Amino acid sequence: MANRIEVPTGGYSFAQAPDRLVTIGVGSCLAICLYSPERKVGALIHSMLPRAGQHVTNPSLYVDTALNVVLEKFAHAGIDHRHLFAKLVGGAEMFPGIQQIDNAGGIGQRNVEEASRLLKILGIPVASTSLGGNRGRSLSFDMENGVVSIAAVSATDILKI
Amino acid sequence: MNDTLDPFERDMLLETASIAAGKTIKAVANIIGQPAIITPPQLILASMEHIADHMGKPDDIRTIVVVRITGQAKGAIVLLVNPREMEQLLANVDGKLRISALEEMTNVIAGAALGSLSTLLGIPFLQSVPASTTDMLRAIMNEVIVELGSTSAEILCMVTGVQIGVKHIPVPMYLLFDSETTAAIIAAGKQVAERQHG
Repeated sequence: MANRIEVPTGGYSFAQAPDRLVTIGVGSCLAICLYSPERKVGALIHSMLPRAGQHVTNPSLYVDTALNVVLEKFAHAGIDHRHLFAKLVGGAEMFPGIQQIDNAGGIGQRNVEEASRLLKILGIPVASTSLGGNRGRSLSFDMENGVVSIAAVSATDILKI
Repeated sequence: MNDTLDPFERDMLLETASIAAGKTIKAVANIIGQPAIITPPQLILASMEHIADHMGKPDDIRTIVVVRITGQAKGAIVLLVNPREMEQLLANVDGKLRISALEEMTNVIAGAALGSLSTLLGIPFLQSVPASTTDMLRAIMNEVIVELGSTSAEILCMVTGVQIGVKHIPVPMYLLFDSETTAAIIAAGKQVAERQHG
């Protein structure tokens, strides 16, 4: 029987087929789904911010440090990161009319930019995305086939990417 | 700021929150034209990724109005309401105008709360115009919180339960502050206490 493993904000989890990784309420945060089609193993990261500062208490909060930690664990399991593909979900602006304090773009946009930049450097292809807009998303990542199913409050259908 | 509050700091922050809540309740009753009651404020000091979990289930659908606190202090005032209960709360307001009415209510509440804190503590609090949206609680709140947590992982949250009207519709109010502002509030509160007792 397949298990449903929930990933909290600022967390990550690994799973293998037939299980599913689930995270709820992704707004400006970014969900990074990493999948090995050969091994039917994957990881789901739910990060809040693009880059870690000097004092990091929880590396999973940040796109850059979370990716480091998760890819190290893939390596420990004998899975080369070049055999993974990624799917990205989130990066919304929940209050689109609000000017950002530092004028550096919204948090959502910066999360997406940082993940895209790092995945490109690492040579991990981004297979598909559901990004931006101003709606929250919940997602379920199926280890059987790497498909990510996405639900939003305003949408009547489940989007599969 | 320490990761924990000592008993004096906790009492002082609760007293500060109570004073803000007292001003708030008068503002709510005036603008809504209905009776309002508040429950004693509570304090939450938690890392940024856990704050939203103290407010409800991650997939609860909520209408949230946020007023950002800017200037020397950094924080936010947030009002949460179930969209269905908002319709009851503002039943005599035209549907299209309900969000505007809720934003105006939050604006008045924020002005009352921050004005009282500013007078008490001598800290200037500037407030933004209100912004609102309806969606999953966690999706919305995490965006509000990351703006505070960009510089600090620990967030102070003062929660006041507000119940409006004869149906006691819950509209909880959250005052959120980053760690630097929390430290400034504690320092100012200690000075006030010393003046009062010494």
